[in-house]
Amino acid sequence: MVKLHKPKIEDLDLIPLMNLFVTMIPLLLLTAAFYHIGMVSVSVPTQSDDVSDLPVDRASVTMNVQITTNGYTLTASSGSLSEAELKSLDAVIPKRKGKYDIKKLNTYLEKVKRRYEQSDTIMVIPAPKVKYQDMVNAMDAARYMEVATTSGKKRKMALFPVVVVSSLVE
Amino acid sequence: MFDSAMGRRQRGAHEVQKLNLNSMMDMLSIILVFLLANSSAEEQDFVIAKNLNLPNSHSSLGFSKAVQVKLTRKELLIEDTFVAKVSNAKIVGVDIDGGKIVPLYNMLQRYRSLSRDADKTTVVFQAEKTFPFEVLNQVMRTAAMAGYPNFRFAIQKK
Repeated sequence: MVKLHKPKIEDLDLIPLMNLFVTMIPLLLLTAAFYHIGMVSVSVPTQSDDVSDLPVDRASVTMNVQITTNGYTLTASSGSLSEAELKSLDAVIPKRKGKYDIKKLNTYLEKVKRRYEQSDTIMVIPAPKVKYQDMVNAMDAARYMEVATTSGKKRKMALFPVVVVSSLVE
Repeated sequence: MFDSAMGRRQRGAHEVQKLNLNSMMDMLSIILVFLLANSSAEEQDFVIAKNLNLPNSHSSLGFSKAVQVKLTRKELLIEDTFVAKVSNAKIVGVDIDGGKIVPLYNMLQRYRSLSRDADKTTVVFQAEKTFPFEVLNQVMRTAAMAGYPNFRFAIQKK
């Protein structure tokens, strides 16, 4: 009778792989960034001899968001819309429980964007005592909106990506 | 019975027990994946100033190179060069002429003339998130007067 020998399973030699891992970990630790930095692009108004930056086509407006210690005050400007049309875009969003209502600002700007699809510029005008973080929060709300796709996922879409920071003329 | 147990013990003394590396490998793999996901060569170039908390933002815009102006809780810097002292969220001890911080204006103009960057109109601005807009506005206005009307606010991604 022939005895069948079971094939002996050799353990995989993991030592070289471990050596590689141990060398890679300190290297990656050196380049790891646990504090992720990004940028927010803004500009300040400058004086120029060129024509006005105000939109002249009827599909776009420039929104102005004044940030005061009480909340947001919104106005619109355009070279082609009537006073009454521009006035209809005015809004006041007061603070809610002592905090700026970022969500309401985003919803309102989304509504304006849907009405004037070519709009891309927003003027942010903070009051002198408004904190930098509050200013950045308002810019965040003004730049993007979240749109649900057909697959059910949410996607970021540009709202007013061109942000100009200005100050109140006293 | 005693003999057989003794025999096993003696045989065991000569066997070299292999270290089980599987769990160790699992652990290292997890660490490696985590570090690979968090490593970025780009952010290595960006140095955040001391005494500074950057604001939080959802912005996905990446880092870009330009002259850096840093407004910390203690000082105002261009790159790492001291420009003015900051005390209680106010720039102190420097000439301010018509809203223009004179030493900042002079240094920015010098940077602009020496700069080899393609974009000579943009400043990367690092500022303390708790500061009021009035102090930021002073710096921004000065930079705009010196020929830098475009800014990239450095933020901490949410």
